[in-house]
Amino acid sequence: MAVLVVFVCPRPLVCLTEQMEVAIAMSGGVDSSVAAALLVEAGHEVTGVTLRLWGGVSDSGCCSASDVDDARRVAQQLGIAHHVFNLTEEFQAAVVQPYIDGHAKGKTPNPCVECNRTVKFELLLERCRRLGFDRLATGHHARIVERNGVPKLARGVDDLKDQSYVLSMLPASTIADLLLPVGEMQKSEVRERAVALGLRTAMKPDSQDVCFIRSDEGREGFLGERLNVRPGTVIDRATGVQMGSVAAVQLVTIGQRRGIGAGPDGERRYVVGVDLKRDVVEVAALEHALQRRLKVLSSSMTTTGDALPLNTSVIVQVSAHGKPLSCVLEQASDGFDVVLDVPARLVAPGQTLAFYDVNDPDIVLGSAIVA
Amino acid sequence: MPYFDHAAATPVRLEVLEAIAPLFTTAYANPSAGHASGRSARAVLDNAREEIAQLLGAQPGEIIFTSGGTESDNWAIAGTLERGLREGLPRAVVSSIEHKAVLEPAERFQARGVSLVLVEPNDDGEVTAQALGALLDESVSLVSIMAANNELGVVNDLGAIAKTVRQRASRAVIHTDAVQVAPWLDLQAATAAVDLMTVSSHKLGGLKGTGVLLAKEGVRLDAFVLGGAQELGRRAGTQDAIGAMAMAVALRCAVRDREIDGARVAKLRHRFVQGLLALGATETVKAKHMLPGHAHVAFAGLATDELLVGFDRAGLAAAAGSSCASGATELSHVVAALGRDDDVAKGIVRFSLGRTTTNDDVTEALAIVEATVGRLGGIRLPEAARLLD
Repeated sequence: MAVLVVFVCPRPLVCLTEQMEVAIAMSGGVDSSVAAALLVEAGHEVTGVTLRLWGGVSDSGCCSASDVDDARRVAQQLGIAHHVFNLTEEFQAAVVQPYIDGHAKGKTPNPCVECNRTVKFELLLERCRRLGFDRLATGHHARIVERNGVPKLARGVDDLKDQSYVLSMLPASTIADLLLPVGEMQKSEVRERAVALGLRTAMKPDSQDVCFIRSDEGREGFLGERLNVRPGTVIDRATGVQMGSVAAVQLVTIGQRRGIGAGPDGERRYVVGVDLKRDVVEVAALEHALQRRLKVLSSSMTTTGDALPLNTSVIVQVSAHGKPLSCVLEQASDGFDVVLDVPARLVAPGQTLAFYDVNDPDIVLGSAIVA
Repeated sequence: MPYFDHAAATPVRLEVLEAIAPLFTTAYANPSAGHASGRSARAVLDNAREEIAQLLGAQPGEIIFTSGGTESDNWAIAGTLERGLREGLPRAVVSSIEHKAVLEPAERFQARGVSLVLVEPNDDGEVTAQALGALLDESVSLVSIMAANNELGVVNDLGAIAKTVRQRASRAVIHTDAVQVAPWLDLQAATAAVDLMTVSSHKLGGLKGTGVLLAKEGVRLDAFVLGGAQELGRRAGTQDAIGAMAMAVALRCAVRDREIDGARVAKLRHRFVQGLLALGATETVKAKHMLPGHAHVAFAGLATDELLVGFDRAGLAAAAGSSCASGATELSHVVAALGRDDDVAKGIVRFSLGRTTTNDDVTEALAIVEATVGRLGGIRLPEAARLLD
């Protein structure tokens, strides 16, 4: 009797039948370490690359010498080549300076999104293509899944770790060249795998913050050194009553609650306006800090494939781990309006919106930046 | 797998391995120990010292073993500047393209009142006696000019440099970093010209972790590594007799072979450089006197780290001038001192051929360079052409 053995690959896009040359971006963290290991296990010819991005002192994330050392050691353990690319100038120009400039103009840009957009998935990917790699892989918790034969970006299976938001601006051409091996796993599985492999990064804490900002200086310290920060007056919009002051008006974010306190009525206040001409921060109670309509410029719209559908329901996420909200995209004179079904807390100008398919809610459709 | 990074490290010579292998069981003792085993180790160390002295044209008492070129450089600079400050000689003159092992300790002394003056190289990467002379006076305690630049391979005229220093800064101690020239050129003339000289073993086919600071008799140098009376009380720390012997044998072989090796490698280098030029690369410097193995070239419009990874993926080992703690390449201070255009400076690679390089290596390396450069989008010729103006 013939026995038909069907091999079911648990990770379809890692276990490709053909062996490929894959560059894995290794930050020195556990996710990219395990991603590299999975690619090696799948039989690919794997090369680790670590980006040196920030020229200054840092204590976390993808920038420090000790992180590079961790990545190099993991590569040695896996028996793969490892290289360090110096992209400090490009990172400064494309990520750090716009972050500083954005704040000076009262915007709150997301540096991780910009880094992914310009450095990791443009400069690095271009470089990998030129060097003859078939694919670029990263340790992001997101997936590449097929829909109608087309690779699509999707949420990672671990809801709490999903990073599809920070990849939502990737174009189809990039997604087609991408492998995201750990997106198929729960974070706990990633750590278990790292422990089983004896990788030194197995128990390394997740990086939380912006990699070029030291924890002891914080956002305030970093921007305070680089911007001429000015104090601002906090005024309750409803009553016109002055509630206090802030030390650095440029660092106040629309929608912010932290550090604002309660109004005369005892209710918490939220930032609803920042006027950098008068150095005034306007605050309001929650019911006045909600909005239904978010404006985005057409130039900031990106799509992972087809154009974003207008006048029909899509899902939007307004922060890295925010709640998915139902909305409709409408054409407006100067771009698009994102009209939420239910009003939500104000979103700061400069923030990224990630759009998902309402009928296939893990699938990323595209992104835009709040005007 | 062509290895074109001999300026960074060379394969250990077989003669060295054969000479030191038995010593691991016979000369393991501490050379400072008074017992028979210690005396055996001490004899190995002193034999090595004597042989190195003779090969360099020095006296055994002038040879101090160190942990390598970096320590020798650091010590030469710090030891001399320390004395200079005490003796009222606050000025130090070094070239701007010295190894960081010279520049960083010199810079550190600025906070202590040393006035550091940098001599710039000429357009060919040479540090000339003329340029140096203009900066000298009788307040100079230290002049440090390398015998040949580690990145460019340009050889300086130490005889002329020393003559100028003796005329214009008679109290100055002259140091030279001779790490790169040691495999290729006779050092006896350099020894005669200077007061302090740095040599490193692993560039000669010896072991990493051994170097020499040649300190001419009468040159007083404050101790740098403290905590023992080894090396005639000048450098503390248990002496490495086996490493010293490895260096002596390596230097002996280098002296024996260098005329033949030098001529052969220079021919290979010529063929290699002609091949690179045909691909559109440019030589960054065109000095008359170059080390035989160095090829320092620019691939205009391409990025150094991309080129190096491309070469590595195809099996060719080359280098850039400088890398930071993370291992990422950085624009080197040597290239910066030459003041080349950005799109040239960003695509610079140092190839360094050595005594084990073969004609087949050159053929293979050229094929790899051609394929890699093509894959990376090719050299941007307009910039390359502009460089030749």
